[in-house]
Amino acid sequence: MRRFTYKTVGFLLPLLVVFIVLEMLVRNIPNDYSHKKYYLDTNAKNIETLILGSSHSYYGLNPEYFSSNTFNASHISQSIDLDYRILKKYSKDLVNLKQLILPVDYFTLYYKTATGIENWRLKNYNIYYNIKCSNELSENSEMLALGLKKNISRVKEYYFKGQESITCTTLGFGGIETPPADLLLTGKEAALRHTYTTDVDFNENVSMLNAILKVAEKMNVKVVLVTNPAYSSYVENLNPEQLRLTTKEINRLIGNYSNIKYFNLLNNTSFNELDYRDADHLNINGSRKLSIMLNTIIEESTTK
Amino acid sequence: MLFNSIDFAIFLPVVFIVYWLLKNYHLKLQNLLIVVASYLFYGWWDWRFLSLILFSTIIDYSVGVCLSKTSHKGKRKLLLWISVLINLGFLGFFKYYNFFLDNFISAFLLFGTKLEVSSLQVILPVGISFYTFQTLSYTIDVYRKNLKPTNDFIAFAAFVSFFPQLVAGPIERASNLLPQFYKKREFNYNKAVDGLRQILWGLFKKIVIADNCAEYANIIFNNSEDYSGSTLFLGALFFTFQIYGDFSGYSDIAIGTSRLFGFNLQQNFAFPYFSRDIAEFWRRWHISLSTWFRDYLYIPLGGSRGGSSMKIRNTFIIFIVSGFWHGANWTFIVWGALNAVYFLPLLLFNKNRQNIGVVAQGKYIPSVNELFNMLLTFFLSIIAWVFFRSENVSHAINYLSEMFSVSLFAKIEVRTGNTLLLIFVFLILEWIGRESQYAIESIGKNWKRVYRLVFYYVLIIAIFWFAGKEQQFIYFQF
Repeated sequence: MRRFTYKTVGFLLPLLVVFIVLEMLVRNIPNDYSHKKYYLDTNAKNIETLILGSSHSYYGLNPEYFSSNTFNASHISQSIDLDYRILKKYSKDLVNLKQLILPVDYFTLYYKTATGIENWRLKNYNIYYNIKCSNELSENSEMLALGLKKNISRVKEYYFKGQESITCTTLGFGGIETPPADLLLTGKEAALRHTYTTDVDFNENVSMLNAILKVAEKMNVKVVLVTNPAYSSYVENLNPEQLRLTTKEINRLIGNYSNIKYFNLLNNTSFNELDYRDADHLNINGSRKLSIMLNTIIEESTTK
Repeated sequence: MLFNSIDFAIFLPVVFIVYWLLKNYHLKLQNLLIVVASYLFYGWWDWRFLSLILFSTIIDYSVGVCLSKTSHKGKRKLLLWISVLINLGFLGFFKYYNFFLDNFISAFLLFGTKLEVSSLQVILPVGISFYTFQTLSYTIDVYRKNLKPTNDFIAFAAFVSFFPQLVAGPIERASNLLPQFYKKREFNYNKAVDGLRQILWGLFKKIVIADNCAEYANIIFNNSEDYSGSTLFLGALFFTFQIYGDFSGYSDIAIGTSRLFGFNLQQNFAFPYFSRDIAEFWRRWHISLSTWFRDYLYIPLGGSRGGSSMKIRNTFIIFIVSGFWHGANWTFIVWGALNAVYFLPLLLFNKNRQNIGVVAQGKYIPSVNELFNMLLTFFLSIIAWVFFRSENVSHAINYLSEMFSVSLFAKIEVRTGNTLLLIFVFLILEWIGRESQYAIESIGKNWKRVYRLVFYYVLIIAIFWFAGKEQQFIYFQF
């Protein structure tokens, strides 16, 4: 038994050392999460408009087009419970916050990062935001969450080629231009991906949305709820029942609060095929339109 | 808890150390630790379903005790039926209720009657098909007087819930596993090292082979209408290796883990893709399930005795039930029936036992005839796996129709990186090790220590290379 233990430990020790070294190297690479955390840590008191949400906000809302001091704290596949945790974490520091922009899209009340296929992203909140949203070891380690192949490539890119993993602008906007995708195909695929056969997370997501609205009310902050624009191939393939229930729930919640404005832009005709990177994400052109549109709405409502 | 999770990587050494520290104390204490560890292992997923395992354990233990106290034929039969009905009742409720309900509704609709019955929102308890069959084998063996009933409840509870094989097998027979809980286990260095080696190979199969193949199989199967026959064939090929890597990988980890604790489980996969006919394939694929159905269903039905019609009936029954065991979907039933169709000619012409030994035993390469037979059997299994993987029967039929259209010779539309190369390396290792219990059991045994260590490090690096967010084992859903 002793011999077995010594030999096993002796065999595994070099692997463990390599593992720890790589973990440290990877964690040191700047990325969107560490960047946004740093920005919020140092600039929270200056932020007047805070944007939360998933990739729809990340690619769709550019703080540069807002007249107030705006920061986009959204991340790809960020579900509403994580929006809540970010807001809660910085609620005491956001002393000048006047508006909160929160997307309520077709999938918002059905999707949860922790239970979706993108749950590997949870490690980013645990490691970089210091938001304890999971106790699983694999969600607290870069090496365990992404594997050696991906991490070696990240180490190579950063330490040998000097390329960071940050893909957003200083103000948090996902401003990377990509070649346009097939809008018909991506519309069908995204609608299918966002349509849920189960509503197990629905009630929890509604509670989370409620919790955000309560925090905002307590902070005396206006909330702008937005259903983002999407291309017709996406809209046409949505499940009417899921869409109806989502809209119904949002309208119910709006009735309970006085500090909310809701804009449903899903079928907004101002956006055409030239505004999309794929059927449910705006490109830089589209994000400029949406950001200006929302800014105007916010300004008008402020001056009223 | 998943075998390929970090939770298990912590759980296993802790239980292992405590287990062997207890070896000088009472055997019951060691068995009790296995029960507690097993319940923790299962409860990690969903503690509510522990009550099902506990209930099954109490029922079958009590039935066993009662069977030992009576020789009255009628009473014995009644006791057996109690166990069978309760165990299959749970299985039927959790796994098949909605299937039967949906089919009843569809059947009534054909006659113009709309039934207003809503289906149940039930979660399928992980591994229910495995532990139900394991406990049933105990009651049936005791009823048949092939096994002495146990009076040791802790040993029996450990047998039912033994964590290495609780959720995905091998489905152990009470006659093999239960007596091992009565005996004092001595730590054996070679056995423990062998166990670790088998765990390593199981992880390699799961993470490097199955998960890589799954990535492409999922893309191709989920968008099958968009692809040509050649790509669809590749998708089916990937699924063929995915299901093998996944399930046999799990079995290797289960058997290896058991060895660390001094237990011997039966071999569950014996290199099935090197089979020379379908009969041999079924002697090498999921052995614990095939032999379960053989002993508890096929032989009681009359087996291969009697006339041709009897043989045909029994063959179809066993394969269809086996298919249905895998899931409440017509796809599994068709998969089973198709295998019966493959198997029948061999049975009817008495050729089902012509390939018993290992292919090309003692040789490096097979003969042309053996190679042809292996390729043919492999090809037949690929076609059957399409039904197994598809969403429904029409999806499978459309998939196969497109696969065997002229587009079978079109350019493949999916870039698969190095996955085909990985499969090739994997097949070579499996071929070299085909005379052992698992491929790397014998590979490297006579090498210098340093080469052997390098080989194991390469396997571990490959596992970490491809590891990411852990994937569920397919067989958990059965």
